[in-house]
Amino acid sequence: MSLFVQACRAEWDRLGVPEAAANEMAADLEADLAEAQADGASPEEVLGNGYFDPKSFAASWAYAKGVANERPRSAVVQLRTRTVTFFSSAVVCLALGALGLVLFAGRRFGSASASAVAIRRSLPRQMPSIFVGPHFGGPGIVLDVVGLVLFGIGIVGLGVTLWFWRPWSMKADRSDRDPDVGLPSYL
Amino acid sequence: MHNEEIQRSLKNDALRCKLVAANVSRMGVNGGRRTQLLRGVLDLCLLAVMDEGPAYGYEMTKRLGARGLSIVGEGSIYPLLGRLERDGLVNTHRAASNGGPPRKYYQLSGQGERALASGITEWRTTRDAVDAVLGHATAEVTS
Repeated sequence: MSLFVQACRAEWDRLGVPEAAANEMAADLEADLAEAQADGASPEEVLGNGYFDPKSFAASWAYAKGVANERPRSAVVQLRTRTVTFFSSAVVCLALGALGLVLFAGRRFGSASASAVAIRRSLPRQMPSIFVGPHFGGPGIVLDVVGLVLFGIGIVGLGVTLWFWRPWSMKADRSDRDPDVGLPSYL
Repeated sequence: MHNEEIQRSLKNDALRCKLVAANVSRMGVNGGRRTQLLRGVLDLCLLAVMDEGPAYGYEMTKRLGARGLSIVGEGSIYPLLGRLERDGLVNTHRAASNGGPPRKYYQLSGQGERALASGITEWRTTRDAVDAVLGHATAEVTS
């Protein structure tokens, strides 16, 4: 088996190409290269630029045939990015929700947790005019509003994050959506 | 006087460098265009050579080459063949080649024949339109 075919086999193994399909492709390739050599043709005449990049060539072929199991690298990176985004956004949302709850529950149940007290003390004494009206019932009302608003933001943020994440969209084979997948980048 | 000669020589060198750079750039653009054009029609060409009769991979390369379409410097036909097979445009079977090992032969399926026919129509329509535009541009240049 030529070095080129060996490199292709290694890539197909890495991509999880079934043994039968890999054997078939390797045999076809080997036979074509041998015939080309007998004809005095260069491997480049058979493989084009793929001859200089066996990994890309092998991956292109496997994806085009639909026999590769591993997701394309770009999809893996995309999934990883989305996962990181999801978890980081979830942490922020939880923090916002917790803040809202601390403020809300701290006033409602009269619990004087240290964090609630610290936050309340950090708030300006001069409240915005929107909170200072005839219905203003003291700092507790303001904290209720702030807590609820933050909690609402957290819930909305979580929803938006989940919408962007959409893990189910990653389960589909990329090659089914992109008709050009499998084509070498140079073609 | 000596300085003037040196400056003139430097100017000539600079001009030569610009010309070389322009040529390299033009070659790059043309090479990229050929690749893009091939990308759009190579599958059609493969279907066309298969229309002459079943063929295995290298045999198709030879048929393309015999008609002046070399893939040297371009991509391989194998991923395209894989895609055509996956899309059901070709059927395959293994058969003994001339004295060699059994080969995988590709031949047009019914769907492939229809795809070839519509592809040829599309190609001719596009080619005629482009020819009309480019022919007009050439006339302007030569006049």
